[in-house]
Parts: sequence; structure tokens; C-alpha cells
Amino acid sequence: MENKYYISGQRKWKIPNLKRLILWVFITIIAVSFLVPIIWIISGSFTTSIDLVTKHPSLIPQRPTVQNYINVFTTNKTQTVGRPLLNSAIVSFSTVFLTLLISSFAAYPLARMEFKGSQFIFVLILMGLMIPIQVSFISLYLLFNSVGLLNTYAVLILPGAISPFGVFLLRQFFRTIPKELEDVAMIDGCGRLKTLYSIILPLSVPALLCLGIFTFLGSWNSFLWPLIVLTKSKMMTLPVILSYYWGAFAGVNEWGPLLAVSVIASIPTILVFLLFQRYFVQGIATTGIKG
Amino acid sequence: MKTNSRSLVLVKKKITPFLFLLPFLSFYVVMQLFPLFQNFRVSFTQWDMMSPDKPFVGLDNFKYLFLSDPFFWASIKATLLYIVLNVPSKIVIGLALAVALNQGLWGKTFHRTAIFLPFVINSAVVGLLFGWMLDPQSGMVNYFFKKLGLPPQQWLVDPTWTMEIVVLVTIWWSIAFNTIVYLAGLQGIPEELYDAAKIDGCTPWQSFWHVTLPGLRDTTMFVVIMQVIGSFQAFGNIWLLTHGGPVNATRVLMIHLYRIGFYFFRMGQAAAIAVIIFIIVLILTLIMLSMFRKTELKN
Amino acid sequence: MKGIKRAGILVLAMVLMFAFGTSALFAKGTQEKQKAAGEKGAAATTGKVIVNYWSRKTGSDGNAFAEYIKGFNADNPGIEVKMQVLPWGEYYGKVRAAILTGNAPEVFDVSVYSPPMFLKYVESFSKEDFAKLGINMSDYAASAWEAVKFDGKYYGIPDGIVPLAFFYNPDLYKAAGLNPSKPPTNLKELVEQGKKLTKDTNGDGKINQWAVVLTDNGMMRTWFWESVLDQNGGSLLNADKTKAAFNNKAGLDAINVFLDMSRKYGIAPKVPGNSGNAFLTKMAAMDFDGCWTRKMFQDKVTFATAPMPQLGSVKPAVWSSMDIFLYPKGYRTKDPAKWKAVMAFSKWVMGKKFQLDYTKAAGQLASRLDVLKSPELLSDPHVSGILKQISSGMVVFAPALKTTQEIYGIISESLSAVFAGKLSAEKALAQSEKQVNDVLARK
Repeated sequence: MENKYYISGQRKWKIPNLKRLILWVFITIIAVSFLVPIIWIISGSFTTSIDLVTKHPSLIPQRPTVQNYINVFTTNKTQTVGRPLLNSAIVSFSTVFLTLLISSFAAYPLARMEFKGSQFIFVLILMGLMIPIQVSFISLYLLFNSVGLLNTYAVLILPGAISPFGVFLLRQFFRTIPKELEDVAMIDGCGRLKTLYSIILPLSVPALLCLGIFTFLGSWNSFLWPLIVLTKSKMMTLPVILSYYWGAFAGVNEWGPLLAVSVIASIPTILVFLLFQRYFVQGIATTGIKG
Repeated sequence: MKTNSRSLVLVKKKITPFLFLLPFLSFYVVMQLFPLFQNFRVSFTQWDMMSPDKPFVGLDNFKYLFLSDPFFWASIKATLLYIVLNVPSKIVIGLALAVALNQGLWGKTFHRTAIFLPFVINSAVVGLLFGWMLDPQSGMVNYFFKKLGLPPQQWLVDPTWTMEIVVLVTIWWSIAFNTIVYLAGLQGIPEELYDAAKIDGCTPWQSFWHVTLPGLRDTTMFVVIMQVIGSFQAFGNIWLLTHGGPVNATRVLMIHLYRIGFYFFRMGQAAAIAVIIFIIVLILTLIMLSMFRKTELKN
Repeated sequence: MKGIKRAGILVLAMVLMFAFGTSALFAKGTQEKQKAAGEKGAAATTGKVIVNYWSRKTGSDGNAFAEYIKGFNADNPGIEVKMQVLPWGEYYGKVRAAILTGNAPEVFDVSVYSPPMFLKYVESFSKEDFAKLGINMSDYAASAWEAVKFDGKYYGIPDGIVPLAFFYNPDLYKAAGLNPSKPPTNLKELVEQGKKLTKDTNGDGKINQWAVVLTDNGMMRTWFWESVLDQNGGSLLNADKTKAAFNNKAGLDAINVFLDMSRKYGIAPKVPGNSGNAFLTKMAAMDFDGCWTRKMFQDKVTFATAPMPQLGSVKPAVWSSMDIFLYPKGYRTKDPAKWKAVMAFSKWVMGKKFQLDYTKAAGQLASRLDVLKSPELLSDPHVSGILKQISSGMVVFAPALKTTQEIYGIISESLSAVFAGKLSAEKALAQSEKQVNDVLARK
């Protein structure tokens, strides 16, 4: 049943063979050229700063070195990346968890219960997609200050855990689950809460994974908000540290450590992506994004 | 006793949905709607982000933006240019890549991985990487241009093509989203329709026009709306590449807002820009929704 | 069956994540509080006074500063200075928000044009205050004190001077048959030497070594333009800083002199670029850059410094910023013990030992005269040329206004258009003049 949604499983309309070959060449060129910048960051991170500036650019480091990585983890130059790595991990995982929890709770009644005001609330939530997050920064800052939570994990986690997109996505998915399954559970005496976690959520794993991955990417890469609110080194996340390195090193051509931090910052998202990439498409396919 | 418990059940039934919604709604109201409301209020005041009082100035901030701000109209123009370049190209390319990836060609996993991979990279890394690659004197791109005997280019230094370059980088970075959504949309088109088209003697090209495209109508609506909203709010990708320059070529509304608000601390005017963005996006979304609904009725 | 198993795994995962999430959220919050309480407790028991110092020194200067602070803390057992470096892009926003919400640090540093926006919120000093502190004002460059003086009062202390600088490569001078101890002092010499330094070194028929690569950094370009504007006898704003004063021959010549380096003299490539990078890779024999760039060149390329050559027609001049310490209001009256510690730290920063060490270790220069004239520094070619700019009095500080940053932004954009060939120099100046006047006229 799951296989139905795998990308590879389907070949809807086939193009004749010569054309397929041309298409293959074409898409392979695109794929390779998409990879070049990424390979270049990685190779650059294994090259010394001075070589990066003085030697001709090359996709394979001529004199490979791991010194950049040692530097960013050990030297007392501005910041090391150990603590920020931990901070980013704590913030991202907590955000993912809270988003999934809160969004599925909100999406369930919107998908499955009839009540007065449900349309209004749904539209109100969709409006959230139109709010540019940057406009909220000052109010949010004052809000978190008034409850004394500046420079804590809460200030980094909570704003990211409120996802109108997540509610929308899960609502669409929950509506595709046959109602009979739910009815059977209700007749068996399950309450709404139990139905949600014993019937709906287990059947929604693709959508939850999809939302989880998107949330993880957004949270791990979140940049501007932590940059604006944080004033303590030990709370800083990787993208913030990256901006430090940028400010400190790009102007003086110390590209080596900068690229090493970039690679470190990208590894978790790339891993998550490689592990779960099939759910990207599957999760969205099954929600049938339809107005 | 009996009636009592029944009314209790009724009450329970009535409040259950709200109990489920409570965590989301309370956080949503406090952290998104309330700041939005605050922002509306600040847009009618003059505030430097430091002083405890915010004198009310009526519509002065809006008047200033429309009549005296030297960069407001330039930033509207830049935003429109960004949208005109960004939205259609990302939709067409996203669809094309999705269709190509859906062909089951040899090495499809590699193709898909390579094309999706940039999507997970941090925008700060993207900005840094391309700033480095496109440096006119020491960048890798000009180095290869020279090797190939092509004249070196000014890239992000010359305002003529900056927006196009920014859009190209944005496509590289985020085309995966549209491709994913279109790939998902393609899964939803029933196989039988293609079989029927084949029996009717359709060429692949014809069946693309008559089966695939109509089948992706809802997906396209979703993509268009997300892209337009996203383009109005575009910030990180442009800011980290050009900071809105050179010569204001890429100073879109969000960048104008950020500069005025967080660099020059005229929060009233920054809030006014936010209000303008919000209203434009709201109106556009409503128009797009009603347009799609009309075509739906026609079908 | 499968469904139940899956549900089980899911619930387990959720419980784990919930535990993780909530503990992170709340435990950390309390930890912070405990820590804060601990700080106070420690202060009560050990008598240590905490001084928070916020800085926008994100580079090697910040590292050096932090190292010296360790020394200060060791020498002053009753005080602990905590330095927090913050990225400069969002720095002023953070300081403002902190002042608004009462979270301001005891001391923070700003650039030469930033004090006006903080005047209402920071402490001011009189000459007597400094005398009482033991800071002898005549020990420091007089212009530095002028830069922090508003309405007859001194807001903060000027701990460092940060001018632009002129770098050149003695090795390339020798290779071109030039005397490496005779850098250019005026435009004529710059062009003469530049023509000898511009050549094809690898024999492929294309020039690959230039005298200079013009910077593509808009701000840097603007500051050098302002330097030459001053050299031409002009100035950025009129005397009472209410109107732009650069739309004239002095301003125009200051643009043309840089454009001419490429189009008339052929000593610079047509396309601007990362000038420091070009100098580092020996693509350029000279570099017009910030004085802090010397730290990037150190150990990587042979270089020497000289006072900024007089490219204009009237007098030598060079643009400069400063590093200034400001003190948010509140601590001086409410917490005398803390204020005493803050002042002890400030006095140490202004002391000879720190000023000399820091000038050697970081990019900026001291404001103390005896350090600026120290034989040790004057004999070091890496810094002597920059120092001479200050002792010769050619330094011109950027105007201090609430809108200075915005004004530089406007001019920078117009000049970028000129150097990209999109706008004539005349139009750029006229356009900038109008926009700058609008900004200055705004209430």
C-alpha cells in the first residue's frame, strides 16, 4: 500500500527511447551542476585559508588538511562550535516534537469534528501564512523579555513550534483517512484523544514525517531570530556562530574555518534528508494538497 | 440524572474541539496574531526602539513612504521584478524537473538526490558560498570563464543582472520544494487517464497537455499561492547575497523594512512597510483563490 | 497488529522527545536562573563584582581583547569583566532593545558616529570626573576627545582610533626597480610608480599585476572618496551639519581620481573587486583599505604601510573612525560598587600598557599619544605609516550624527552605480545631495 506513493514506482507516460536518452543527458547535467557548489564547499573546507586565496580554485584539494576542523572545535578564536552544535540539536528536536504535537492536536478537530466556528478558525490559521515573521521580532522580543525568558531555549523553540502550515498539512491528511476506522474505535469506547493517538496518528506517519522534516530543516537553519534575540555566547546556535565567523573571517579572507563551519552546519540536515527523502514526496502526495 | 449526563455529554462534545485546539490557538494568538496587532499599532507611531514612549503620528509613516522615501518605490519595483522573474521560472522548472524525475530513468535516485540536496543547506551558507564563488577578482566562476576564454563578469557588483543572478541562486537553492510538490501531484493522476489517452492516439506531448496539466490544477494553485506569498516575504536569500545592493537593484520590500527598522531604527516606518506587505499579500491571495475557483466552476 | 506496533513505537518516540523537549525548555530556564542566583551568591561571598562588556569586535581584535581581560581579572580579584562579542550587523539593535528592556550591559563599545543616538541613555562626564578618575586628558589625542564631546559634556571614553590605511608590497617594488622605502606621497608619484608596477609577469600578453585593485566594498569606497574630498579642501557636510556640502568640484574630482586609475592611467583593472584579496595574492602592489586589514596581511604577504597619499589638491587627509566606550545610565547612581569596578576597568583600558599591547595585537590604534609615538611601533613598517597619519594631524573623523550610517548608505549606493558605469559622477553627486539633504531635514 505504501509503495503506491514511491516516486520510483510510477512511470506514467513514457517518452520514446532516443528522446529518453536526450532527457537523461539533460537531467544528468543539471544534477551534476547542482552538486558542484556543494562539492566545492566540502573540498574548500579541507584546504588551508592561504591556499584558498593564493592557489587556483580546484574541486579536489591539492594539499588536503583537517586543520580547519581542528581549529573550529578547539582554538579560542571567537567561538568553538561544540556548544552551538548541541544548542542547535536541542532546539531543533524540541521544535520538531512540539510542532508535531501541537499541530496534530489542532488539525484533528478541524479535519474530523463539526463545530461552530471551525471554518473561521481554519481561515484564521491560514492567515498566519501571510504574516512575514520579521515584523513580529520586536513584539516577540518584548514578550519574551516580560516573562524573563530571553537567552533561554524557550525563546528559540516556541516561535518555531507554531506552524500554520503544519496544521494545514495535517488537516488535509487526516481528511483522507477513512471515517469508518474512527467510528469502529469510537464504538469500542475510545475517546477522541485515544482515537487520535491509536488510529489517526499511526496512519499518518508519512505526513508526520514530512512535516517533521520540514520543521527540522526550518529550525536547524533558522538564522535571523536567534541572531536578533541572543546575547549570550553559550546559547548561540550554529547559524548564529556562522554569522560570527563570517563577520570575523570573510573580511580577512580566512575562508578555511568558515567553510568548515558551513559543512558542520549542513551535515545534520543532509543526513536527515538522505535518510528520509522518500517521505518528502510521499507525505505531500498523500495529503493531496487541494484547496 | 439521565438528562443531566446527556447534557454533560453535549457540553463535552461542544468543548472537545476547542480543548484540542487550545494549545495551538493560545500560542498562535500570543506569538503571531498579537505581534501582528502590535505591528499595526506601531505603524501609526514614531518609535526608535529604545525610548519607552511611542508618540502617535497618524498616517505620517505611510505618507513618508509614499511621498518622500527615496527608496520605497524602488523597493516596490524590485519586489515586482523579483516576483516576475522568480515565480514563473520556479513553477516551470519545478514542473519540468518533476516530470523528468518521474520518468523512471536510469540513475533517478542520483538525479533526485542531487537536485533536492541544495534545499537543505542553510541560507547563510548559500550566501557565503555564492559571494565567494562570484567574487569578480578571485572567484571560481570568473576563473573558469577566463580558462574558457570568456570575458570575466562583474556578477553581484554590477546592478544590471544582479536580480537575475539572485533568482538563479534562489532556484538552485529552493527548486526542490516545487519539484517535490509537483512530483506528489503527479502521483495523484490516475494511470487509466493515460491509458485512455493512448488509446485515443495521443502523443506523449498531447497527453502531457490534456492529462497531466489539468491533473495538476490544484497542485499548481497551491504552488502559485505559496510562491507569491513567499516572494513577497523573501529576505534571507537576497540579504545574504547582496544586502539589497548594488545600487538598490535587489532592495525588495523586506530588505527595505529590515534596513529602516534594524539599521536606522525608524520602527514606525518599518511597521508601516510590514502592514503594506501584509495587505498586498492578503489581497493577492484572495484574488488568486477566486480566480482558481472560477476556473474550477468552468470545468 | 502492524498498526498497533507502529503506534507503540510512535508513542514511545513521542514520550522520549517530550521528555527531552520539556527538560530542555524548563530545566535550562531554571538552570539560567540558578546560575544568575549563583552569580549573585558568589558576588556576595567572594565579593566579586561582575562587569558586563558588550563589543562588536568579532575578529582577531576581539580575541586579543578577551585575552587581555583575563589578565585584568587576574590582577583585580574583586572584579570580573565578562566580554560578550556580538555580530556587528545586528549589534546596535541588540543594544537598543537591551536598553529599552533594562537589560543593558554596564559598558559597550560603538563607532565614532554612533554616540548621538545613545546620548539620552548613557552617562556623561565632565573634565573633573576624568581628573578624579586619574585619566589625564592631555595624554590622549585631542581630536579623540572632541569626537565624544556633545553639548560641552563628554559621553564615554575614546579608547582607540581606527583610520583608513595605505598598504604596499616592498617585494614587488624591488622587482619593479623601485625604492621600497619611497612609497607615493601624492597622485603624481602614485601614477609614476603604479605604471612600473602594472605589468604582465607570466608572459601571456595580459596584465596580471596591477598597481591597485579598486575596492568593490561600497562603504570602503565611500570613505576613501570622503578622504580625497577632504584633501581637495571640501567636506561631507556643512559646518553645522545641516546640509550636504559635497556636490561640487572637490567631490567630483574625488570620484574621478579613482575612476582615472583605470580609464586614464591604466594602473587598476576596470572591474573593482576584493582589494585586500588582490593585495594578498600579489595581483595588486598597493591597497587602499582599513587599518585593521594589517592583521590579515600579517604572516601571509610582505607589506609596509605609508600615510594615505595626497590624491587631492589642497592638503593631506584620511578618513577615520574610532572605538568608543559608552556607559548606560543606571549603574552610576544605583550601584556604587559596580560603578567603581566599571571605572577601574575603563582606566585600565586607557592605560599605557593595555593601549600598547592592544595596538600591537589588534588592528585598531591607541588613542594615547605616548603609544602613538612609541619608538617600538614607529620602527615597525606594518604599522608606522598608519601611526604617522595620526601624529601628523591628517585624520578626519566621520561626522557624528544619528543619521550618519544612513548618509553613508545613500552615497555608497550612488558611487556603486558610478563605478559600475550606470551613472555619471555628476548625476550621482546631485542625486546623493538631494537624498542626504532630505535625510538631514527630517525631524
